[in-house]
Amino acid sequence: MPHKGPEPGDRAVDGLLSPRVLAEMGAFSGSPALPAGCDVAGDWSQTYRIWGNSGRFRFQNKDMGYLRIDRRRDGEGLTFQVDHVLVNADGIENTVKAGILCRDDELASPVRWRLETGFTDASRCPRPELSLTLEGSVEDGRVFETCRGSRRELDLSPPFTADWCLVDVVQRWAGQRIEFTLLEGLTKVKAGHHLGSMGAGLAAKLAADGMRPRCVYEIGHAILPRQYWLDDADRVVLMTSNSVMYVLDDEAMQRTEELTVDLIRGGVHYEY
Amino acid sequence: MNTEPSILLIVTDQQHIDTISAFGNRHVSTPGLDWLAERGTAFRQSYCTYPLCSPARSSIFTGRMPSETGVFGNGNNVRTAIPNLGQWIARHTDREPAYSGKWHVREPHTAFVPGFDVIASGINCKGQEGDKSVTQSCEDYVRNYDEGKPFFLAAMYTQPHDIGLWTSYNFRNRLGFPYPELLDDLPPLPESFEPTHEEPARYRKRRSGSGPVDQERAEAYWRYYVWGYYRHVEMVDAEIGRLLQAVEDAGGSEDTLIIFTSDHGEGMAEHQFRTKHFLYDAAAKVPLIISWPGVLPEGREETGELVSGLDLFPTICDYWDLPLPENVKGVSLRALLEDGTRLDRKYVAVECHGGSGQAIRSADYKYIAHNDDPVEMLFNMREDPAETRNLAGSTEHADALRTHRGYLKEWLEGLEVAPSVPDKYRWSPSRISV
Repeated sequence: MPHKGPEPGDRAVDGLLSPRVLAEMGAFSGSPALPAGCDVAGDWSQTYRIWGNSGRFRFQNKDMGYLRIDRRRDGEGLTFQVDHVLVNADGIENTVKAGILCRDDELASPVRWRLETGFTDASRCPRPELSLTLEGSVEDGRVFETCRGSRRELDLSPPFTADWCLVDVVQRWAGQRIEFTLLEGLTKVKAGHHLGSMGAGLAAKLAADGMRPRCVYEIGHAILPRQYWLDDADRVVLMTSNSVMYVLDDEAMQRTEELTVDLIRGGVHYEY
Repeated sequence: MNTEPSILLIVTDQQHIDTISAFGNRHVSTPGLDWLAERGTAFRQSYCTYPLCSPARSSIFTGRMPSETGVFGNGNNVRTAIPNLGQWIARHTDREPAYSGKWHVREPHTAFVPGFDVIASGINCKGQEGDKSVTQSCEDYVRNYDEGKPFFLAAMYTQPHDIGLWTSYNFRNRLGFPYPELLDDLPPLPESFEPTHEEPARYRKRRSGSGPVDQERAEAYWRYYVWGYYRHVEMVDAEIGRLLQAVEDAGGSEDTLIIFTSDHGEGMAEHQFRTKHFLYDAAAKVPLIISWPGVLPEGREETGELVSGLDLFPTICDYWDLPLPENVKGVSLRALLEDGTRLDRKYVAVECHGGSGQAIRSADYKYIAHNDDPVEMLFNMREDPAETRNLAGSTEHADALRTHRGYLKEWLEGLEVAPSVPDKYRWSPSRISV
């Protein structure tokens, strides 16, 4: 396998991975059409393509999987159904499915959840010994997790939310000071997070042409700063964090399927 | 309790030794590693064999120096005559060692690591996403494990290596700081930030042009770099914390020997260096914590004994009562861990630049030499642990210099250098002036 470095003329990014830069790379093309009936305060489904950059315009840019979030509002509160697929090297797939019941509040605070995880091997056969179901709940302000009959209390107290719910939080955020603990992937506790608004001047420089320059950022323990870019319908169309991008893309699941097949066939090689 | 423990080897990528909050760094918060430190022994004089991914990893998995394994740079294979740990375990036991995450000897990420069952392969240079799969696969593995015999599991994280990408987006960003609220809370620059002494030419060359483009605010950008690095460390710490919790929940912590280390360190603005591939302690030292709650002493900090990435292979073999392959250079840390028996070791060695650069660290001094540069460096590590005063030209330290040249000569004479190592990287020990 020959080593492949950047091609001659491949430019370094030399700046934040912004909508403007991503559009120039061809990785971001603005906001997809708004589905009929989509209401960021009501029911919606959003699918993101997960994509990575390696500091240059062309070298080693790659898809990594997808994230689909279905949000419903009903009498019980907010419910989120999540599908998260990460494609590892040689086509090993890591799938995560989550169902989260949340309070209908500004943080979409999780109340009860269920998480199912799994892996395939490099020939795409499921590995039952690597599948797991985990349940969590908030009881009298205390957070518990149960897995294979083992129940324990998490070192976590409200206010908290999950990263998958945070998309909804950002879409409804009115700019007020909001601090919370992040329960990332419903498994990792990351304290001391808050949201902020990027300055209008900088946002205008970073936004793609014709795009609304509205950016919310998240800073906190154990994450790199995340930027959430919103469209005219207040949808998060793009999330970036250092070298990683989640971009709204109706074809993300199909792209992930193709990526997995290519990796298993040995058609995609990355060297560093 | 099993008489032979299960073994969980956790390795991060490019983690500076002083990035664990339990040891006093107040700019980073690492509850996962703090938890492990409370339950084990932390080695504070722990060195990798080579501050670069592939060579250092080749040593962890063989107990041999990179110039012996033939992995004298990134992207080389270990020569076939030398077994890796997975192959060695599979040869001598009925256990199937499992592996998750980054390999890089040779392919960075692969589903096919010799000797191991790869349960997840991670995503190249994307620890931010790929490390989630490493933790998930390892958590699923330990919670489901029911084989009635000890397991060996390697959890090989990519973070905080992604800091290498940080500069692409932040060091050359001409639009200024995107988050002004952070400016008042950036960590200070290290004591050794300003280069102060004579160095080999390749060190000066490496430093040139690698800093921020905004020279007027260069120090702020460097501080922002260190701030960003700490967030990378916290990310992998959160992954490790979750994995450790899973081991505990599965009832395995008292049956499991947990070894945590990193392949190599990170410049972290010391000497105005970032990333790795130089021989100062920032890159050459690595965190190492070994824990077996209820069996080994807990909450212990080993500050005197010099240990090496070479020592993990023989330590693991010792706990599983396996023979050692020929010519392993490391030593088992078992007796030191269990009752404090001191190692019979005068120094540890670190290679770099294909092996053309060598460092010898003894109890009091660190000596650095290159076979293609006349500049030597000698530091008194008790008085100057930040390596800011090169004593190689000092008559007062002439004896120490001679002694350490002698150590280097002795060390090189004992190496079985791989045939694939190019001539330009090889030393002629007989020509070292003692």
